Amino acid sequence: MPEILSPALVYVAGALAVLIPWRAVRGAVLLFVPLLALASFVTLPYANYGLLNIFDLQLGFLRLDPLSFVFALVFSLAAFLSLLFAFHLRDRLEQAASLLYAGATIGAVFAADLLTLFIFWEGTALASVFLIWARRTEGAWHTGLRYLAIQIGSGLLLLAGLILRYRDTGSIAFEHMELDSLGTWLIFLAFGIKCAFPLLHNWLQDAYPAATLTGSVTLSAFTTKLAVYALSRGFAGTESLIYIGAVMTIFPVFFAAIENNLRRVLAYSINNQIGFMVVGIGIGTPLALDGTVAHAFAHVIYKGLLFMSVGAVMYRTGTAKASELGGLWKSMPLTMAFCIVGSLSISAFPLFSGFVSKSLILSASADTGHFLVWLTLLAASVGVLEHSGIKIPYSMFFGHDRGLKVREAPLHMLIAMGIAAALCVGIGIWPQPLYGLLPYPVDFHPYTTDHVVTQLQLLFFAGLAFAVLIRYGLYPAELRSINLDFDWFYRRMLPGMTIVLAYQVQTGWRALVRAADYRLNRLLVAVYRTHGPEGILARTAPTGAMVFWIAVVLGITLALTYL
Amino acid sequence: MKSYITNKVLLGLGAICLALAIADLLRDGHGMFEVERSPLFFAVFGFVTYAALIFLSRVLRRLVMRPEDYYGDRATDEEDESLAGTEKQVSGAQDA
Repeated sequence: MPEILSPALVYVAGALAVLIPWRAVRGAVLLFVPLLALASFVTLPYANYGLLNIFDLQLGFLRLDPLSFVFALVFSLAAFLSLLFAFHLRDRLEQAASLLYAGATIGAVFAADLLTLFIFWEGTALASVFLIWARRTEGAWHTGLRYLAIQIGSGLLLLAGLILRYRDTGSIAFEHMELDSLGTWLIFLAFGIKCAFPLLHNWLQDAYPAATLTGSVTLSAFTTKLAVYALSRGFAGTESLIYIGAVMTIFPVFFAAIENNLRRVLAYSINNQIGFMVVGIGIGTPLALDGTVAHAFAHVIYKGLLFMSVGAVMYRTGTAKASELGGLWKSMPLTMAFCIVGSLSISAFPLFSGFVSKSLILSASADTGHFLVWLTLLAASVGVLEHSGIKIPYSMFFGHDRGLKVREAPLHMLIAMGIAAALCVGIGIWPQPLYGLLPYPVDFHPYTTDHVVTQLQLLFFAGLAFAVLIRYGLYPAELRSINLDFDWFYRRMLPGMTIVLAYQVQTGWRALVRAADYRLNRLLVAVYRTHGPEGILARTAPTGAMVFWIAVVLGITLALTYL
Repeated sequence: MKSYITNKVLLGLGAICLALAIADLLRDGHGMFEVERSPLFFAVFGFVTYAALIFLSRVLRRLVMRPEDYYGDRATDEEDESLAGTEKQVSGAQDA
């Protein structure tokens, strides 16, 4: 195996394949890119490769250890599945963007120093925005600009942080950090933006529903999970993350419950799921960190599956709005089956992948005695069941039959969803291979009678509540609408304030000008009075008067001299 | 319009829940926290949390719901969604 600088370069080279003119050939060749990139690192023993020394800075492009390996593995899988799902695409721009985005993410995962991380970090922002712009509408253009500003901003914070850290410690190595200096705080914030911490989260709900339907499948896999990786590498055991994560799990469930756009529901759901992982990082015990990694792994697959099923429905029906969908179980039965597998996985039903990964985090929070956090996570689990487990499949395939006559999803989409669904079930039934990949050795048995019974009780009684609420018409109706969230402050309030401020400045300036004008006029009138044609200084006096006054002055002078 | 949640479905779910409530006896009752060990904690917690969540969401909706064109042409909310790479668009478009 020849040593390469970074598997990311395979994706960069692979992006040239978009020049192939025949659509089917191009689609097929693109599928090999993630496989080739995977082959470039999967057999290497754990070590640091791709070391470079530039201007006395030690750069490392390929740090292969258990943590980076498992993330790179799942990102490769996600890249493959999203390319397969988008096999029908004609849009070369979007294809190239998907590859570069996946490549940049994997490059960032392997970065052993903060500078390399920064380069790939910005690379993910630049490549991914084209998945939004690929929609080619005015709204998508503006949404893309907002997305880009926030993502690039995160990168700049990272850059500022790494420079300060270099000044303080003389090292740019990407290792565990403590929140003890401005530099590390900036890096923490940079990670937090990409991780969509509460109040920094709205780029996610803004951008993902604006992308193309294939683009949102790709988007769902990478950015936030890269941030989870970066946090678990840099800030494991940082206590504040426990509470940040707990808030992240709970607040999106309310918004998801009333959101009409199903892709935005899934974006809120990402928030909620990432919250579980952030709690795991904050707890920082081996069990908790394993839980975070396992949950990220399972999450990339089932969240991709859910985005794919919504995308497939959107592909056929032309919409992802709950208010326009319903009753598709007859026309798209396979898509429905795959979607339900994704729903059961994310809701952590026994025998599905979410069950074997989320329970690690819940156990870790209980073991460390965080009662309120544990209770919050339990409530958030009910929330997941609500929006991703029930609302997504129910509103598309059941709900109100809108009389839509469509065909089943195209074959390549079904295959992509089928693989993802098989993995969800496979991991759920047989978690040992996934546990074997985790950074710390795990001795955890999810399938105890207690655990299965309590989890089923939680989910089924919540499901019963849903059925009762629907039956008695208390469940929120699907309405064509949007909901205000924190982004209102920078999309509406700040621009509004700017307008008000501009008006105030304008009025103030006008008053100032008017006052100055008035004063100046008064001055000119006064000057005119003395200096004008009728003014005292402009009067013409006779010459004799002057001679008279000179004679007077001369006379006084003479008198004064001789007296 | 006919609902998919018929009385039969409701009864079926009720039966499963009843079975799970009985299965509560199988638990050996270990757990980190006091509440965890109390009988039917997870069942009650699931039902109540779900109902509370929906109730609170309905309150939230009154506060934050706005028409789709709220953000105007700077958002995709009111755009024709079939422009996001759907079949209708793909089959009509030329090779990009």
